[in-house]
Parts: sequence; C-alpha cells; structure tokens
Amino acid sequence: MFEFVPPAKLGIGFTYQQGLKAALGARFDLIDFFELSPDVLCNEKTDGGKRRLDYNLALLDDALEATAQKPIVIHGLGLSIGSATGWNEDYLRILDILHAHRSFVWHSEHLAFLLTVDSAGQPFHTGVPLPLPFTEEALALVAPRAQALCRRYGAPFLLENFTYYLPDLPAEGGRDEVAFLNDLTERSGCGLLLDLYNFYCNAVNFRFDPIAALARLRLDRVVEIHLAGSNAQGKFLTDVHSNLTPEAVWELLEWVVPRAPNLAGIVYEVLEQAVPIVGIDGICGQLERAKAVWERNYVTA
Amino acid sequence: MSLHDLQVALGTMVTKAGLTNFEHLALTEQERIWLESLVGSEGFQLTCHIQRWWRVTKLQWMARLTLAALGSSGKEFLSAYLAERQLASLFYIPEVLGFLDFVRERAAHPHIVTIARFESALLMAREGDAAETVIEFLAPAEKLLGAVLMGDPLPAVEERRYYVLVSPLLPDLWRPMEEAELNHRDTENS
Repeated sequence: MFEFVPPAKLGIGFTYQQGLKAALGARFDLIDFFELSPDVLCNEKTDGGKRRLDYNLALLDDALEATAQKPIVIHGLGLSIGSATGWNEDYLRILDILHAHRSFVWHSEHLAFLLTVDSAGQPFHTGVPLPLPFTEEALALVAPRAQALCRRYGAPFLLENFTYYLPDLPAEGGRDEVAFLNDLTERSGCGLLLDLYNFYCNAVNFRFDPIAALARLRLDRVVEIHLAGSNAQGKFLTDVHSNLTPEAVWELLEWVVPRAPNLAGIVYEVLEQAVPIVGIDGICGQLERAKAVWERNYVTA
Repeated sequence: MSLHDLQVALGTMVTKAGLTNFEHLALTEQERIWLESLVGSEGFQLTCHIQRWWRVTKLQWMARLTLAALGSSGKEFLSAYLAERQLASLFYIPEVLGFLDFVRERAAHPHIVTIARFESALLMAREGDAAETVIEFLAPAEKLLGAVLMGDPLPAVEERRYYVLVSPLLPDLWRPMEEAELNHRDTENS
C-alpha cells in the first residue's frame, strides 16, 4: 500500500497560459504557483499507426521561462487513466520529459476515459471525457495505475472529479461518485483534486445536496481545489470553465477549506479562449478572493 | 461484465450520437438496458452535443481560411467530416489537418483546394515543421487570400500558375515565389 504524504502548502494558483505574465503585470504576484498542462505544449502525430506526442520546443521553453520564479504543478488531460483498452503510454513519456526539465510539487489527471476502440478494434478518441462506472472492476483498473503514478515522480498524484451528464451510471456496492473517489484514494494512496465547480454541477444536474456529499468525501485527501464557472446548457450546468466562479461555489469553498487539512493549493481555472471574456480584472478578482479565503484559514510563512 | 466492452459501447454511442449494435459485446442485461435508456436522455444528448461542439469549435478556430473560402457550404463540409471521420486525437492539429485533407478531396472549386493545401502548410510551419512547401495558386495569392478574408467573390481561375513558399523560417511563414526560383525547388502536388 502506498502511503499518502501531503505536499507543502503553496497557496493560490492559476493555469499557465502564454503571455500571462505580461498581461498580469504588477499583479503577477497574486499567483503563488502555476498549474501547467503538458497537453497545450505538445502536438500529437501518428507514427506507424502509434500515437506520438512531441513538445513544441518553443512553447515548452516559453512555459519554463515564464514559470521559473514560482513552483509548478502538472494537470493533464490526455492520459486517459480510466481506459480499459490501456492508458496513453506516450503521455507518460512527455511527463517524464517535463519532469527532467523541471520538478513539480504534485501532478494530477482527470478520472475518466477518452480512448477506446470501435467494433473493428480500431482505436479512437471519444472527444470528451466519459465517466467510469462506480464498480469494482473500474476500481481494480484505476487504483494500480494511480499508485504507479504516485511512485513515478516522487510527488503526490491526484485524481480530479469531473462533470458528467449521463444518468444512472452503473454502480456496485451502493457506491456513488463520493464513495468511488474515497475507495480510489484508499486503495491507491493518491490524493484528490477537488474541482468544486464540477462537483457543484453534478449536484445541481443530479439533484443532490453538495454539502452533504462533501461531508462524506475523504477531505483529508484533498490536495488541490479548482474553482471555475460556466453557463447553463438547457437544464444542465456545464463545465466549460469559461466564466467567473458562481457564489454557490464560493460558499462550498468556505465550507471545505477549514475541513481539508492537507489542502495545498486553490486554482482558478479558465480556458485560454475565455480569458478575453472574463478579463484580466475578472481573473485577478477571483485570485484575490481565493487568497482571502486561504489566508483566513492558513498561517502563511 | 466487461468494463472494456461497456466503454466500447458508450464511446461509440457518444461519437455516433445514437444507439449502436453491441450484440458482439460482453455486456450484462442491466448494462444493455442502461445503454438503451441513455439514448433518449437529455444527459446523453448533451454529452454528444459537447463532443461535436468541441470538434466544430476546434475546426472553426484553426481552419478559418478554408471555412471562409467555403462560405455557406462550410457547414455542410463540417457535418460530412464529423459524420465520416472518427476522432483520432484530442489535439487540434491532427483534427484540423484531417479536415483540410477532407476538403481537398471533396471540394469542387480549385481555389478552395488550394486554400486548404495552403492552410495545412501554414499550420505545419506554425508548429515548427522544418519542411518548406511550395503551393501552386491559380490566381495571385494576395488577390485570392484578400478575397477570402474580405468575403468577396473568389477571383477567376487563371491558366497561369502562381507560387507561394511556406516555411517556418519566414517572418510571416509564407511569401510569393517567382517561377524562376521554383526551378530549384520541388513543387507540392496533391
């Protein structure tokens, strides 16, 4: 059994985006750490039928230079840790490359699957993260992978909850999403990236009390919290991460933070394409508000 | 029960936006019932919509020239591409290059084929692909590209050939090239 060791507390983070340092100017120091996604620094080609990821070296150099003065954490999308056909092995190679350039305080991935095969056995990409059933087989698949990632870089590995819209996911043993996340952290030793906006979306979309659900979650395994906002699509809240954080999610943050003893960072997440919509002042407002919550609850060094 | 087969079924249903034949899959009766019930659900329809929306949005961001050149037939090309070509990668470049290849294969107007070829070369150059590419235009490049960007009617197809060099080493990634210079280079043909 891999023992979970919480990382050092970092504070308030933001998603690295090219040109951010210049855009923030004097307010750059609102950010205590950066969350870096290798996916945005790479391209993918098919090489003899196999996927191959390669860094755009100019983008990688820019990212390393722009984040040089602050700690970084890694947040991936392309691993497909929940794929029964196999995760994206090549994604581990680009993580290795990044780690060789720069160590990170923790790394994380989405608890979902993106890769599968068609009826002819040809691999394809689903184009959108799809949920795992809350079953023993899914736990048996993901827990060893999460444990392997906990060991790989000498830094904690976190799994992120995400928003899904499919009703009545198959479940065993009376599990729901919370019970599944708890079992996963217990079996693997991994931590949690609690995306509070995604959690809130699921609570609204599937009509459960988010506070009651959070009260059952292994909050001692929450290392990072994501804040975000989006818009409704029909009767569903969606997780496009393109807006300011709604008040209901700030209320959840106020509830969670004092109950998550190993929380090491809060990140406001917004899509690069939505930055002009939210605006630099909007982003800084989110960071300042998150910092106020952080400082109310933690003694800073 | 097989998680593998459940994912095959679910992944296929989302990309096809409907029920598929999964008789060959090792699914329990409960899983089959669940999958069949999904099709009519708003949550499944939203999931399919988001999947398609991301594919279309990526193409609209990255294939602007070609979609502008296609004009009102752009939507039809997008729909046909999404229906016929399975998504192979979450990354933008493979998806966009796949679409531009699709347009090159299907477009009737030679200027649109040229624009799709030019846009592919520009994308590769922007990614730092070291290869230089010469694109053959059937009207002066600035005139054709200007018409596309302004939404004006495309210029007449000429018998004379015009050439454009696309290279990651160029400041704007491309420039017109005189025929005399072409004698020293390979021309890219479809």
